Amino acid sequence: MYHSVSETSHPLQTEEQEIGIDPLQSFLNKPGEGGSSENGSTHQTSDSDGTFISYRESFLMMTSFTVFSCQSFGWVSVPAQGMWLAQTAGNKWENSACKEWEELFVNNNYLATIRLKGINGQLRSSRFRSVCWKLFLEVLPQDRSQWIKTTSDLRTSYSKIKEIHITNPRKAGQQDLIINNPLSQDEGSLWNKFFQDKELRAMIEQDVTRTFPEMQYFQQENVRKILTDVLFCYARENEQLLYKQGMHELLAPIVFILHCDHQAFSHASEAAQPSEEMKVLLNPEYLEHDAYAVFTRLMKTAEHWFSTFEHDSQKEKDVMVTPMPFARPQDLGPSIAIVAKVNQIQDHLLKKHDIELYMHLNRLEIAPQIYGLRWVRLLFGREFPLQDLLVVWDALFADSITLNLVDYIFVAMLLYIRDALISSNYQTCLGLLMHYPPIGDVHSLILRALFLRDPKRNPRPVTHQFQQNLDYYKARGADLMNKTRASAKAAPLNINKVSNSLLNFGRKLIAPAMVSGGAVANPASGSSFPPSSMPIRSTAEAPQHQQHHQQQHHHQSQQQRMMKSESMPVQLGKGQSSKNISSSPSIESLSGGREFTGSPPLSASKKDSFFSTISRSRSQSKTMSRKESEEELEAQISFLQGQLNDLEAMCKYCAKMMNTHLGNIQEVILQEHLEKEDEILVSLAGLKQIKDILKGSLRFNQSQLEAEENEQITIADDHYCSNNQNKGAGDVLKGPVMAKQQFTSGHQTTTDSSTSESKSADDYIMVCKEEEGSKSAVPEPAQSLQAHKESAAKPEAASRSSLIFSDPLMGSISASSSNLSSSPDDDSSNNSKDSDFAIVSPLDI
Amino acid sequence: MEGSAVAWLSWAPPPRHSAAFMRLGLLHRLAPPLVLVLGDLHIPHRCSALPAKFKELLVPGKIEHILCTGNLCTKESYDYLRTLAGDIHVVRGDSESLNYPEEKVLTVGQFRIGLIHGHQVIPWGDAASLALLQRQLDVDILISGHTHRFEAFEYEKKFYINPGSATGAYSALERNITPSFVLMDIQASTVVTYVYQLIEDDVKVERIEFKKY
Repeated sequence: MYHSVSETSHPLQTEEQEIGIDPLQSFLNKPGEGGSSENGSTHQTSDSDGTFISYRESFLMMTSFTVFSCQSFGWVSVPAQGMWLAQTAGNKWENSACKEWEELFVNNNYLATIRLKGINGQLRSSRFRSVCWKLFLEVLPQDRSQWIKTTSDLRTSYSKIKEIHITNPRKAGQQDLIINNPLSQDEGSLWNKFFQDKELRAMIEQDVTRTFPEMQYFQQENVRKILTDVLFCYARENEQLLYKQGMHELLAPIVFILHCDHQAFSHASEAAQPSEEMKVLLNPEYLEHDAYAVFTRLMKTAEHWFSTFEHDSQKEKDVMVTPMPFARPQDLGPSIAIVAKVNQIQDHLLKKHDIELYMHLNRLEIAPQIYGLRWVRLLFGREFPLQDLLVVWDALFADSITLNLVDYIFVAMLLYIRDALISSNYQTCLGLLMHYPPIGDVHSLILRALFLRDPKRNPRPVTHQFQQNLDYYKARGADLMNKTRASAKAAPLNINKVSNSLLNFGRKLIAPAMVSGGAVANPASGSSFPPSSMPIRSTAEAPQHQQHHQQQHHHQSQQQRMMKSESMPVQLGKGQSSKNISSSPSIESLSGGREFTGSPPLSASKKDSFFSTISRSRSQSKTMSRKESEEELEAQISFLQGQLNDLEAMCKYCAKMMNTHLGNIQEVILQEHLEKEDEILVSLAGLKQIKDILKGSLRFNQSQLEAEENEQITIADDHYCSNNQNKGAGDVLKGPVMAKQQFTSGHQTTTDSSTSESKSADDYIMVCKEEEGSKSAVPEPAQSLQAHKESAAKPEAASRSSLIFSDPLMGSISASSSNLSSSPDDDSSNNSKDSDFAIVSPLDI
Repeated sequence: MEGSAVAWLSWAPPPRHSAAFMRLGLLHRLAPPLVLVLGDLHIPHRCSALPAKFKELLVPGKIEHILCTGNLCTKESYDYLRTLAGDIHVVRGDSESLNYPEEKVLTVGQFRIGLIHGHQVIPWGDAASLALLQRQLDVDILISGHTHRFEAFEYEKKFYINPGSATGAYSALERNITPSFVLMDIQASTVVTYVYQLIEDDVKVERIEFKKY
């Protein structure tokens, strides 16, 4: 199964030996107290009594130093090393193994002893962990004389079960072909059963292939087959429950432990003669059988966590016919046992032990089933690295077969990350809970759980707190949320994408500002980060303080960053506003400008909505995450606004320069009296239009693009105008667009204006102006308007006439425009007037 | 609960290596690769459809491969077969509307299987002529059709299968045809052939075993 590796060839050899041997030696010196060397503090290299201990121990020791190193070490190498050690010191092992066996099991009150060891994490180094588990889970009876018999009974029963359930249709014997053929749909047909099994198997197989993907052991074909077969048999034996996702994660550690013990035993037994009991119990041939026995016993307790049947819903319905009026959503769902359990843990246990954390989670509306379902179902299988998990399980099983320590470990786990949770927003909390941070000392967690359950009989453990940078969990939380939302709704995803990219863009923009801006001390910043990030517990230790200090520092720097980015746009804004004041036409240009560069603020608002969706429904909770994001947003918005203002100023300048130059050109041309003067003038007018767009006095929109021809006529209006008149023309040009909207939206205002019986043009523009004025909320004297109008109307007529004569191509249009040219003087025709400017409206009326 | 359900499903990391996907192929090894052999449907020219009893038997999910000796005649028939299995091989018959290859050689397990409609082999269905083709293609099993009569026999240590007509369509020489098709269960070095025949509205099954030498 394993490749034997020679001493020299293995690259990790020396390292492994070093780390591998030390703990064993300490173990040998103090037999039965392997747990004490957990932290690897004792390095007695001088002791040359390097005897073989279960290589699992050495491996576990190794990985307990480097928590994440599971993947980096090839699993294969470890047994090889074990073998090497076994060969060198087989006899010693025999002695120590027998000694341990005696220590553990040859005792009047041995069960109590191993229970204690399990709870204290002292089975970490045991070579008989699997036997202990069997005892804890009552797979083996307390009476030692019954062990062999019980074991063989269980094994034969599994063989029978397997024979019944795992069918091979070809070995069916001589059944009737009509019934037993591959396409038969008869209930009794083996083939039919086979195909039904195939589906179940496929389901199990799918999960088994991804059991502990980081461990080589579970990638082996035969191990996978064992897992699949055991799960399959269990599913067939328990038709009600069948197979549920997650069971494989419970089975895998059991198989692993059995395998380790078998390996250790078989290597040792080559050299010496172990007792009969050991031989039977640790027979590698029956790995599958033993795994099934332990697994089924474990599932007896755990099965109701997997079942999705509504066990007690009937009773509950009788008691309470109507649901609670203000019940939370997690309370309203079907009362599945597991959901009820995790809710009970959070609502009662957590509330009792840490009301603050409970409130925080409630406020964020993090339902316990989001993370707790997995925690409980897998018995924390995904939350700890395997070697730590096994210690947790030791304690769980040793404590009681009902596994009621689960609840308290659950709470202890929450308490371990409480400070991080409380100081985090929804996203980071989710990240923390779904990707539980690596824990330094698992045993402290167990002690804490015991203390929580029974404070009188258990000593108060030292408070450990998770202390780390939360950025990683924030990111993971964001991933999770995106995933969840994507599956929940398809539509918001796009928005997210867009706003995310916008966000990044915004960050990039801010980055230079950060560098350039000086440090700004902000007295207000302190208040936005409430003292909740400070530890409340009195037992908090020095490093913890430091940590919080760090955290706060981090926050502060963040704050500063925001301030920096904010400071720049403010200045820009000031400069801009003064400019605005100096350049008189103000309202039009402003509104026009806003229209023209409409997209950036829009995107900002999008971003806003993005954030509000992130913290959706958590609005009632005035969490600081919200504040944080809002502040950040504001900074971004103001920065973008600054950029916008810059652009506007640039446009203004361009327009101004263009205006003067165009004026010069026009003067010269008018003096020259060229042949094709008109054409030049028309194109000049076009340039003027561009100038107006730049200036912002001319609205740039799609309709203009579409109706380009008509536009040209309108532009010809003012090609003789001076600067002043131009603005008036701008008003006029603006007016019709507004009017058009008015006409299409409702005739109310126009009918009003027509009934007023005043001069149509004035009246008309008045309406528009009112509209404009009401929008910008800046009243303008009517006289100036009047002036504008008059100046606008005259050149309009002049220019049109010039057009009619000059351009033969415009014939068809000129016909209509000649019709219309009379309209400014025609007082009665409001409609035709309108059609002159906005082209569409006759149909509307 | 919705959110939690999603979280629950997404906890397990997907298989990381493509090797893991390859191991899913284990499933196929556990499942016997059942090979359906049929042909000469002649829908809609000589028959309207497959017999209802046959249609009941042929359900998706059981059959791995389909070998068709041709004369499906229409694309609709082909599409129907596609619903039964993903892997389908057809050769061209003498009254085909679609274009298929004249002959095919496939490997299933340890067996090389030759597939031909059979109107090219003269005399039709003659063992010696088929053996000539078998040597030419160098196959262990030669599958041919066209005669609309089920046959499965060993000849010079090679195996010959003629699935007959699945619809019971008349042939050039005979009017009364028994609808039949063949299912091959290929194990290491043996082929167990199940013959399904519709005799007087009842499906009869026969079992023939062939060992590779």
